[in-house]
This record gives sequence, C-alpha cells and structure tokens, in this order.
Amino acid sequence: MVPVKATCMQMCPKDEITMRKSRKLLHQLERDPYQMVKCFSRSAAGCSLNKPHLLRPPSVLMNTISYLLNDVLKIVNVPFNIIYDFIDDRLSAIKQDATIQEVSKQNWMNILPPIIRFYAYAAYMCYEYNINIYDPYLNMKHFHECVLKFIKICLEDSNETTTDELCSEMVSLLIVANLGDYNVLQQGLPFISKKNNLVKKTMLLSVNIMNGNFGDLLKVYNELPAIHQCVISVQLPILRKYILQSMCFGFNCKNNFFPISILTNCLLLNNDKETTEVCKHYGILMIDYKAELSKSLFNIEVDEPRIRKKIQFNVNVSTMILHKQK
Amino acid sequence: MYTEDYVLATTTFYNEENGLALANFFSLRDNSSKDWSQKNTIDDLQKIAEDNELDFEVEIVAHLNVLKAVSEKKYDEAFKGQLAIFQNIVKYLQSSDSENWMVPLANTVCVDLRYLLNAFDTLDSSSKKQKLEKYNDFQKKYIDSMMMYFRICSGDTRAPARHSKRWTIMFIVNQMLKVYHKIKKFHLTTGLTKTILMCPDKNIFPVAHVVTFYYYTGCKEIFEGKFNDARENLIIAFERCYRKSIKNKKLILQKLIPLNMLQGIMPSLNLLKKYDLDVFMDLTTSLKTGNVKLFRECIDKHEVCYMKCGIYLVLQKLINIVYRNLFKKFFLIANNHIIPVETIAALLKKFDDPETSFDNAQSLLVNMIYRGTLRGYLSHAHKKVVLSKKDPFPTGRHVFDKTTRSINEIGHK
Repeated sequence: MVPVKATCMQMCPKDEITMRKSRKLLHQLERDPYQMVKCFSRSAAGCSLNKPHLLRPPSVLMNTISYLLNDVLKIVNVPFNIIYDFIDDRLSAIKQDATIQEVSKQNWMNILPPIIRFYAYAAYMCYEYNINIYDPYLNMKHFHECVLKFIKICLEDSNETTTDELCSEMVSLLIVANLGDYNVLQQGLPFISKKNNLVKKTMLLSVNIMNGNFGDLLKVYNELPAIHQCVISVQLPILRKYILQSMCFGFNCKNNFFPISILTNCLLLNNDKETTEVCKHYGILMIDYKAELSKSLFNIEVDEPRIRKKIQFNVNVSTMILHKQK
Repeated sequence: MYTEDYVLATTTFYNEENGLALANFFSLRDNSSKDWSQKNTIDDLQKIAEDNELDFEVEIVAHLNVLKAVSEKKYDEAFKGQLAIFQNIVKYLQSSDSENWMVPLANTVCVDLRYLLNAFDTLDSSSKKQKLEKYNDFQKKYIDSMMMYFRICSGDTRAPARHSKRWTIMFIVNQMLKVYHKIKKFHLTTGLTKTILMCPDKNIFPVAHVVTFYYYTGCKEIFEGKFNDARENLIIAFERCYRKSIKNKKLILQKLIPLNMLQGIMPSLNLLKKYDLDVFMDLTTSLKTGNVKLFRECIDKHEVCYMKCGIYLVLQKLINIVYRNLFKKFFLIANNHIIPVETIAALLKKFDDPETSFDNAQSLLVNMIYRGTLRGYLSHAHKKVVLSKKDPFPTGRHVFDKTTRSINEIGHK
C-alpha cells in the first residue's frame, strides 16, 4: 500500500477547526484559531483517518512540536496538569499522523527525541499529583514506546554517524528510566561498544544498582544531564527503600546511632525533615537527630513515601526539551 | 558428482524409499558440485531429468538450478529455488500418511535453505536497505514453511511410532531457534520451546537434536535472566554432547562457566586449557584472588567477545563475589575481627578504584552484610566493621546465589 501524502499545512485541519468551534470543543489553551492543534482520536469504524487533508507533513509536525513545547509549556497561569494533558494528547496525534503517512526514518529521528524528553520531564513535574489527575504508568508507557521505537530505528541504520550523540542520549535515558533492570540492560548492550561515555556511565550505574552497590549513585546522579535526573528522581523512593533496608541490616546493633544529616545524603533527600519523615514511615526509631537502624524494626510492608528529589533546571526547560541544534 | 546415472538413480532411491540417499543427492553441502560443469552441463542434466519421467523431476531440475545460482553467487535466486523445493517436499510429506522415510530429505533441504539464507545475508552485494528488506522477507518465508513442516510432523500422532514423523519436530524447532537467535528475537521462541518441553514422549528425539535444543534454550534463558533454568538446561546439553565434538562443548562451556561462577563454582585451569577458553583465564584468577581492578580490566578487554556470547551482564553480576574474596583474603591476613572502615577503603584504593571514598567502602560493606555474604555489623560511632567470630564468610551455593542476585530479587522477611 502506498502511504498517504499529507497536505494539511496547519497545526489543525480546517475541518476540525470548524467542527470543534461549532460544538464548543475548544480547549482552554486554544483561544485563537491559530492556537488550535489537532486532537488525538482513535481509529474507529466509519471514520477514516488517512485522508490527505487531515494529515500534516513532517515539517508541519516539527513546527507543531516546537509550538507545543516552546509556547504552551511556558504558560504559567494554568495548572501544569492541564498543560500536560493538552500536550500529551496533541503529541499523540502527531505520532499518529507520522505513523499513518509512514514518514522516513530521518523524520522519526527528528520527531521522537523532543517527545521522549517531554515525557521524561513530565514524569518529574507530575510526580506529586494524585493518581486521578495524572497516571505515571501511562506516562512511562508512552515514554517507553517512543524510546524503543527510536532505538529500533537506530539499530536498523547504524551507519549514520551524525545521530550517534542523539542515539546515546536516548539509550542512556532508557537505562536510567529502568535502573537495575537486567532486561533493559540487555537491550542497551549493542550501544555500549561504541565507547560512548554517557551510555557507559549510565550502564555502570545501573549494573551497580542491580548488584546493590549504591555508593556512587549520588556522584553519578549529579554528573548526569537534567533530563536524566528527572527520570531518576521519580525512581528514588523505591531505591531509598532498598538503601535504608540494607543499611538497617548493616548497622544492626544496639546503641548504634546514625546521624540524620548523613542519612539525608545517602538517601538523596532534600532536607533532614524529609529524612525524619521517611525513617519514621519505615518504623525506624529517631532520637535527637539520630536514627537507630535496626533490622527488626524496619517495616518492609509499607509503600515507599512519594518524595522526589528537587532538580535545579539551569537552562530554559523548552530549550532543554527541544534541544535546538546550534 | 552428478552424472546421468546418478540423476537416473533417484528413481531407484525413490522406489526403495531410501530417504538418506535422496537427501544426499539434494544436499548442497558435501556434493562435489564443482565438477558437474566439466563432465555434464547443467542443461544436459536437466534434459535427462525431463526426458525420463523421474519421480522428483521438478525438484531435480530446480535443484540443478540452485547449484548453478550458487556457483554464480546469486544467493537470492538460489534461496528462492531451494524454498520451492522445500515447499514441494513438505507437500509430499503432508500427503504421505503413515510413512516417514522422506524426513531425512526434508531435513537436509531445510538446513541448506537456512545456510542459503545466511549466505545471502553475508555475501550478497546489493545495497544495505534493499538487502535488509529482502532478508526479512526471505526469513519470514522460511519461518512460514518451517511452521508448515512442523505442523505436519507434530500432528502425525496416529501413525505407529516406527512410521511417525514426530521424532523430527525437535530438529525443526532447532532450525527455527537458530534463525531467531541470529536476529536476537528471543521472545518469538518461547512458544516453540514450550511445545517441545511439554512433549509427553521426549525420549523419541535423537541425542544430537536434544543437545542443540537445550543449548539454545539455555542461551535464551540467559538473555531473560533466568539463570538457574539456563544452568540446568546447559548442563543437560553439556552432559549429552558427543565426547569428541570439542567445538560444541566449548560453545556450551562459554555460557555454562559464568553461570556456575554465579553459584561459586570456579572452572579448573585444566578445563580452561582443554577447551582453549583463554577468555576466562585471567577472569578466574582475578575472581579467586579478589583483584577487582584486574577483574574490571578483563571485562573491558574481552568486552566484545563476552557480549557476542551474551554473558557480559552475567559477568558484571560477579563483582560482589570478587569483593567478597578480596575482603576474605584481607580478613585472613589481618586476623582480627574488628577492622576500621578506613582500612577497607585503603584496600579498595589499591585493588579497585584509586578514588574509593570512605562512603563507597561503607556502602559496599552494607551491601555484603545485607546479602548475608559477610556476617557482622558496622558501627558508625567507631567507624569500624565488626565481623562475626563464627564463620564470618559463609560458603555454600545459596550464599553465592544470594550474593549475585539483583537487588529487587532479594527477599528479606
């Protein structure tokens, strides 16, 4: 079957603009017609999605991505979860358009990275939302779909040297999004031989965590780019549980007290107050800014407290996500 | 060598139901196929085949064409021709109830077909993109035909055991496993291996097939991280492997040795020498002596080789055992139950990373105590590790097993 040739030169097809205006289906972020972006809609019986005038060619898709991640992401007077829902939906439509018209591999290589970075960033930004407002599982599912697609394309034409940097960024993102996961490490192996620093570094970090050696977590964490820190930050709660539990085994002795300030550092928490909170949560005894680590008191049954590590974004977030080529 | 007589003899083979002789005729491997052009041109032979109403007329003509294509290095044509032969033979098999003499022929043809697929992949000179598309297409066709063959054989349950085609299904599965393993799509093999493992009559399969099957199943399980299953299957493969096929034994050992190391079983120097497994030489020494630096260097040095074997990550998991051995050696020399963490850090600076900090050393110790590799406790106030007076470094398979497990797999109640 010959792929459809897309002809819609706007972010939103004319048909959809009139339809949504008449039915009052405008999103609160789409006040003007030129701000409207094509919605994601599932394929259903009776409605054909592959009409040329409904599909946007790759160049328009790229413009739409940069509009979403530059202009919409910056909006501050709207809660972030609404912005997230909006961008998430519109990005899905972009992926759908690209899939239907079967864009070239080169185009996919341009389209996917900003989307992947957006999901990584959103994982961090939305972490403290209630599950009814934001579903972290779905967000990471979208993230993995995109990353795995990107990696598949990378593996298929590995002779492209220009995309090496991009590819290693994506592979390392996948690895840090699944720290300590043997199967994900297996998938990343083909990329390690290129002697890329970032892949190698994240790979070693993940191997160390798999082996239970958390010693260099903080050091490597600080060396990684902010977008990598985003996905690590949301995994820290479960890692803290492992760290704290193993420390309870290691320092298991009567009258053996451990200062909280050091624990804050070990557990990658933001301040001592949070550390006290986490320790109490797991049933650890606290006496005067000191914790008595004991394996019998550690409560393994409770869920991990959802505390993320705060990240300082030194650069503009949109620039970071779009990663504009100089 | 193909002569008129040989071509005509196929009728006799057919009438005598001599599958092996026919298989030999159709084999692309050990035929002196280079000679045929000198004595008889291919056209002559084809004419003979056509004139004499042979039983396999179409296939013989196609076979001669394949030979021609191979000699001209046109592997795509050769593959297509061979595929047609294979499909025809599978059809004959389908219609021949309660007889299995044609199985060797079908097996030979399908192995050659796979070789042609590989030859196309490595030797064809067309552009990369085109080749990839074609290769994927060929591979799909190959798997489809093999599945057809598989269904016929596995469904042949009513025939008496002597005439049943069931004994060859493991062979068919093996061929498909080889294709899937080449492209590293292990998830597609799960269904295939399951059908074999669920077979009620596993003793009907020839040993040669069993060895291959368990080897590939083991490889797949290593990829999936099921080390204990993989180890069991590879041991079956190793024990039943033919004594003199050193090459196969070496292949199995390359995977089995790291899995055994996970459980604390180290290979002897004699074994490594016997099977020429130099890549494990330094690795074993560094493991035994606890030289972390050397261990890491070894992995870096043979990185490509280990990755090709699929054991890279298994070896990375061994690091905890290296640390254990290092600490144990030190403990035996120090001969003291209380050791300052600072001393351990100094030890690590010498035998591991020169930049090891106090915290690094402490977190390593915490991890070892947590896993039960080391018995004792740490004291923060005195900055010392206190080892248990009784058996501070326990041994035993379950201890090592726990030492090398992933962090999320350790269950402490």
